[in-house]
Amino acid sequence: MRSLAIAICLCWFSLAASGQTEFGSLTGSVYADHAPVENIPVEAKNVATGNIYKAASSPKGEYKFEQLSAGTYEISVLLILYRPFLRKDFAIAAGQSQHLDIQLSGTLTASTLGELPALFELFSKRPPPPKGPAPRMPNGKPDLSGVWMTPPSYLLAAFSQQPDLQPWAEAIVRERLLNEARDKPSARCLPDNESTEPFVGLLPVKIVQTRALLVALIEDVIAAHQVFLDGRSHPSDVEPTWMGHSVGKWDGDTLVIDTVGFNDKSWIFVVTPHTGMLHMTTRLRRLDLGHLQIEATYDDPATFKEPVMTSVVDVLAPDEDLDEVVCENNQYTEHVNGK
Amino acid sequence: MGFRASFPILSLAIFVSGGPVLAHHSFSAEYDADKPVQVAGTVTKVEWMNPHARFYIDVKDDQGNLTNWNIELGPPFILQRLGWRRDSLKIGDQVTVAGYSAKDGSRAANAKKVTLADGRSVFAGSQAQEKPTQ
Repeated sequence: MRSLAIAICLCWFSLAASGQTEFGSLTGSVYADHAPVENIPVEAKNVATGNIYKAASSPKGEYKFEQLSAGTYEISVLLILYRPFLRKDFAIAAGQSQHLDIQLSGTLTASTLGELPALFELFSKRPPPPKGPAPRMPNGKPDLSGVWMTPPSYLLAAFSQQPDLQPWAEAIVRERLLNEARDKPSARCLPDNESTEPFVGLLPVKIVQTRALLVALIEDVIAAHQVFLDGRSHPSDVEPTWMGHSVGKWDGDTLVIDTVGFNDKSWIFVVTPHTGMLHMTTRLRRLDLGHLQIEATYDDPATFKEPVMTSVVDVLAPDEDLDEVVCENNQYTEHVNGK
Repeated sequence: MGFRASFPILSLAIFVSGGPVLAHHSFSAEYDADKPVQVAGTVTKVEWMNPHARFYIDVKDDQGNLTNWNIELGPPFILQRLGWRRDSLKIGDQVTVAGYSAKDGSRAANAKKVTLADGRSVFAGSQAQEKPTQ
């Protein structure tokens, strides 16, 4: 009995002693294009335990993990706006302070000539939208018709959502950020965010409205998103599709669109998955002649811990129209390693 | 109900730098941003197709052998808004292409800059600013 007491005592002292030295710390700064950046989430994943620790950079770009169990870590910064940063096999030694500066690079260097940066530049040179009151249909309801474009600043806010995700979805987001979204649907000529946000895009979206139907014609994929305004309900056996089944009704001057029946193939917020249970509510309100407000709510408890909202204001682009965009020369599979 | 706008407000310049992730295709699936490449040769074919325009050039290697390279551009629906057309680059034009290599090692590149023999750039900016040879 006495020997057992001594053993327990020794064990306690041993644990107490190791408790003072089994932790190390990690500090550093986060830079983007050589300038410190704040509020960048940094993750340290303990390779042995799988535990993930999180820190955020300060206004000076500094981050700090004060207590990390000694061991091997993966240090990462995974955001859609930067190429992924991943440092594997980073050793944290007991009782020591490590330093790691993180240099993020935008993916500008990897942009294709004549692709999105050029489109952003074109948008920045656009004339302001026309002024005037929101037009109305003969039945007195607001007329949302027109060619609309989403300013890049709104796209940034909408697409850079970081919703609270269920673990399975968070794991997929992490994987997609690490591989720079190499398997995104549009790499196979399939829709990206157009599935859930048919009224949002850098490319023009043309809304055609009648008393009983609103149609969004979308340039970036060959698609027309129908919203039935004739009072019908969703079919009881709705077939899952990329864009779902939409019905709309007026709440004052706001058109409230209810959409169900999505398949589970779309990527939303660039890299986030969802299930077929996704239920969307989209509220369209023409603020004036030149502006269309779009507020969307994503409700999918199997993916999101709480519903997520996006808010965008499109501008009217009366000088624009849709081009034909048939995806016909996709050469994806020819150049993908291992595929 | 939650609207999490916790993401830092970033400049348009940084947003632009997120291009490939937000772009129509996944750059990283095909090309390696860490492997820049420069090739010069004669245009043999232009494909003005979505989602990416392409052209092909014959490039002479060190041994004097001709190899044909596949060069990827942005989509016609953007290039056309910039003022470029399917005949902005013609078969027989001498061009220098700076870009990024295909990951699979094939003779393919994603174009960053395309320069004609007289030094003018093609498919960059607005055609009104830099009108190519007609």
